[in-house]
Amino acid sequence: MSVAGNLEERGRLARRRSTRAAENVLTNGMLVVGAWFWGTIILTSVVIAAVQGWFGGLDGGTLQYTLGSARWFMFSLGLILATTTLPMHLAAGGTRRSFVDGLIRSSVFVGLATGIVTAVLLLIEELAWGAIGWDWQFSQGLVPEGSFAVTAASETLVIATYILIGAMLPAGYQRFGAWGGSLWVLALLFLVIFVDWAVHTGYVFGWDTLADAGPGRTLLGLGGGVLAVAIASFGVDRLYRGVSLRSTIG
Amino acid sequence: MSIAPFGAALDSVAVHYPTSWRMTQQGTVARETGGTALDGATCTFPAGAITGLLGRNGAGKTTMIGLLAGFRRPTSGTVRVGPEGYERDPWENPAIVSGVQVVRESGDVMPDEKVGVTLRHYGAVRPEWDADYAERLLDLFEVDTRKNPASLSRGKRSALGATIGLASRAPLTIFDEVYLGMDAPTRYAFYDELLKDYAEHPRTIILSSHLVGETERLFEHVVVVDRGRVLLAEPAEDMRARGTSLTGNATAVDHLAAGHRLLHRQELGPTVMVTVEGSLAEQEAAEAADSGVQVGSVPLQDLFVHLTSTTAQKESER
Repeated sequence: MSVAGNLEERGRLARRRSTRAAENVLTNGMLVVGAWFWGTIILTSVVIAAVQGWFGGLDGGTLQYTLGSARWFMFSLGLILATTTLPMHLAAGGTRRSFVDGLIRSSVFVGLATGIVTAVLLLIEELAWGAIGWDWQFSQGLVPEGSFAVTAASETLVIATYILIGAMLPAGYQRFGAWGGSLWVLALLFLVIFVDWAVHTGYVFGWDTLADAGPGRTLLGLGGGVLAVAIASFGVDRLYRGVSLRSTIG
Repeated sequence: MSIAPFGAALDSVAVHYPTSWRMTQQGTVARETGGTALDGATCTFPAGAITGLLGRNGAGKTTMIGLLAGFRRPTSGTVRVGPEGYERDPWENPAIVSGVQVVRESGDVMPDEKVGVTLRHYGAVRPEWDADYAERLLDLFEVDTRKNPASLSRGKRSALGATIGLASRAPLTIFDEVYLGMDAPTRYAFYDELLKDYAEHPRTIILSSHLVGETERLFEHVVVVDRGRVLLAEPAEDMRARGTSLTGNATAVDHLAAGHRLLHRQELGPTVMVTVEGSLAEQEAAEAADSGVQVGSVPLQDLFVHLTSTTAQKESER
């Protein structure tokens, strides 16, 4: 093979290898720390349920109130892991493009894992409440009576968006400076509110049961979630593809 | 798929840093003041050679290395890296950056994960990574793989960086002040290992160093950077021939030095030692022998000090 052909083949393989490596390192980091988070949440939920049960029963459930904090936790992980992993990824011979691809795939994968865990936990909670004889309710989400698939899909989209928004925050400061970076935070906040509204969860929209629930609103909500992931992915790509590493002037 | 060693070239490269903000590893935001790091730098790093990249603190070495690795783009000018005749812009070029390994002082490791996790990541990305060799090097440098890099001493972290650099077997491997914190036996073990592996697996190596005296035996080519400009880029032999030391009676030494650019002068009672640029002509050498003046070569370290301090002096005289 000619040198030029050799280089071309090398580039193709290198991109594939480094995308997979970025995806693995980010996914593993988020899943390991996320497992601790969910362990704590489960323990806390059980303790709260036990205490509430002791004093006269629970209204609804406990897990639904943790969904708001789970996404902000993943937002923080996105912020920290993207910031700390990029320099090593570039030093190991990766490109920004492969990092962005790995980050997006990882956010969707971790979102999916979190979505499934959330849906499973809610299902277990519903069954446990029923067995004890308590009234279980789920006021968040697109389906008021609860739906495994829709809850898993909604959380997947929300968590993926939050992880990507977390990753965009420090890159925004680097790109736009102190004032521009602060304005950028406000812009990101709009995306946060949008995805929360779309799937009707979180601290702003998750308190009351969705009024106009139905198949149409569910599709619209999930579509909105997909749009939020797409916008966040585009933002991550634009911000990270031009980012420079700078340690010191030397 | 083996690939030839990479060469590199910078042509009229300038890098100006604007004042910027960055997120630290602790999650806080830090302000970085701007400045000019490189100002019209032009030089080449020949393929398949060990090049010493020398310069004082803040001379622009790290910025130059960052350009070669595609960590950043120049403000102006061009940067080309690749196999001889196929050099390309490294920025976002996977074929090129996958062949450039930079070991920076910061380490570029996962500080809170076990050493093995970082090495596995490098192994997953680097096409030429040799995991067995990495293991042998960690044994040699006595790095405990069960520990996290954050809990290693500075010297051991540097040894980990050296291991990553050597085991990557990248066509262009760059060590940026990799010896910091290493004790003398580890540094010499690293230099020996570098030469041995370089002989067995020829590639291009750039060694950025302050410890010129210790590393000069490794250099086949030298690039000296000062205040963002390239002072010289040439074979190490040519640089060594740039200076001559004359030691002897003050009058005789001064007479011989008169036709040359004086780089350094030191008086020890009636004896004077000067360093002059270039070598002596045949007639001058004979004259030196007649007048009892000792003629010697100048170590790279001394030449480096003289060259960069002369530039600094000129700048301050402006």
